[in-house]
Amino acid sequence: MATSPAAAAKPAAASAPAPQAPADPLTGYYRAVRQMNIQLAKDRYKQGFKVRTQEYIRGRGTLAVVDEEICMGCTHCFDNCAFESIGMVDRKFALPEYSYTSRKAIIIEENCVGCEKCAIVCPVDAITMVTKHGFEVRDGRVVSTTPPAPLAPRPLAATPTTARPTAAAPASAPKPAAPAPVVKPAAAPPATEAPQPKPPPKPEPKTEEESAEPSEEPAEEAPDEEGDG
Amino acid sequence: MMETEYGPGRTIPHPVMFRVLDSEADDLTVPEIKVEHKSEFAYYPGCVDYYDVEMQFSHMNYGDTNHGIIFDSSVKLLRAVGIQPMILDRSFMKCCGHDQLWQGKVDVFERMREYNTKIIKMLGVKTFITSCAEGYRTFKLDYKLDGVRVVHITQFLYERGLRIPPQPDTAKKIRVAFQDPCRSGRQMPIDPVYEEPRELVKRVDNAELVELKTFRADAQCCGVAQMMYCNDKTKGLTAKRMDEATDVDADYLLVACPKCLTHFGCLHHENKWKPGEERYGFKVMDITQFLAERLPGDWPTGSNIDQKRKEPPLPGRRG
Repeated sequence: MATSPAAAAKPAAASAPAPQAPADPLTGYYRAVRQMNIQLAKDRYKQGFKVRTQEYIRGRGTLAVVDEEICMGCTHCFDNCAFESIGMVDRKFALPEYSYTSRKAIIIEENCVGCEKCAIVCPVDAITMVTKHGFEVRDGRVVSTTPPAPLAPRPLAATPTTARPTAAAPASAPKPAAPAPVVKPAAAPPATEAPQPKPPPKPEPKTEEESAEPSEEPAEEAPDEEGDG
Repeated sequence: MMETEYGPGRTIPHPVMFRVLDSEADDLTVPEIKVEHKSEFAYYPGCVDYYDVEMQFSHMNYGDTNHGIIFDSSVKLLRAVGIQPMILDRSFMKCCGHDQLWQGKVDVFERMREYNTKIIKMLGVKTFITSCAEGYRTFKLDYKLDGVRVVHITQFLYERGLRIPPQPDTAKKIRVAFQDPCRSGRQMPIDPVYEEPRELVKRVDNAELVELKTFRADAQCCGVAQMMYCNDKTKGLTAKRMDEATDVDADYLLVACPKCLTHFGCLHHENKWKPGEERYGFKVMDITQFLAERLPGDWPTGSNIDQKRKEPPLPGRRG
């Protein structure tokens, strides 16, 4: 007798948290099939998204171009552009006996960074990426056609980052090659020859004692170059 | 991309959808099928969930066009006429192959047909119910399903005598227009579906059926054949068709084909891009959804509507 109330209590407890699960097994069947199908469609689509994104090789130096005959004004690119470089405009079209306006995307070229996001999301492939002026495609990569920037300014820009010690603060402040000897004379007199011909001043401002040895090596190379000249 | 006299055109939807559907034909091994509820009546929902994912991905709408509800509504309506159908769901069925056939990928279509026919015969289906006009045509004409009766869901509900209970007195009069799908209408040499959806709409007591400017065998297309060619010209046709519905002052534009729902919904959404710019005052929905909303009770299958979201996201950038 004691077991029957317990048995009665158990189904009650089981049914209490199960209002989501329908009592009718058929309804449960339909619901399970339905929800499973929704998930199936989403999962199958995920594979498609991967393929789609892998098709595009990311590269800089590109610019988006909209083909207006294909664009159907879905505003997807407009919604997705992180740089506000897409605008929507209304264009008029005329058929015989019927005319209507249709929305088109336009690229604001000053803002476009060539991230290709609009081309990826475009449902009708109306957006293509072209290379900007000064860039071209070589071996599937977008490369710059302009000659690389002169190397000289780079080490100068790098010196303040490498110069961590407090002693280097005065050293980094005077940027021209002239100040290096100002610091050096205390360490070694031959260092005065080294800094002037070559600008690899990275090791120099670190520490005077350690940099004295490497500073001699460029000092040796420098005379060779002079000798060649 | 294809060149026509009208200029270049592109495929819609996103090629991902074609790839996903075509890739189903690659693997033709029959899985172990476990159907919990077997019945001689089978309901085939088609690709509705794929359209939903596609539309979300393509931002063709912000949740106001719901294809998955066709599935929910059809099950609800079939149960209302006393049928407990077996669901031929997409975990073991494949796409019917309509788009592949009409795009010229006949080999893909034939593989799908072979597979689907095998499954349908294996499960012993006697009545094959579909809610999609294209599926109706494809299964009826292009498949060789001897001994299986293929019906559109409106035909089946009509012959089974679906009864819509009287609507409450507070319900206001609505004007309902019906768009005849090409595939189940003028492109069906046998058994075209003209009368049944109209009769079903007339059974809703507060609904008045109005005809568009062109209807039945003369009905103009929704604009985009299947889902493969959307450009300004086809969009012009869609706009023209929706303007006809505005002209007859319709409150609802009903369709019997998920693709018509896609294209009308796309344009309907586009014209809501800016607030206050709404051009079309009517609702576009599938006929099964319209009828099922008039029946008491909730959707038996749950639905794909996000319960946490109370209203659709804002149009435009903020959405």
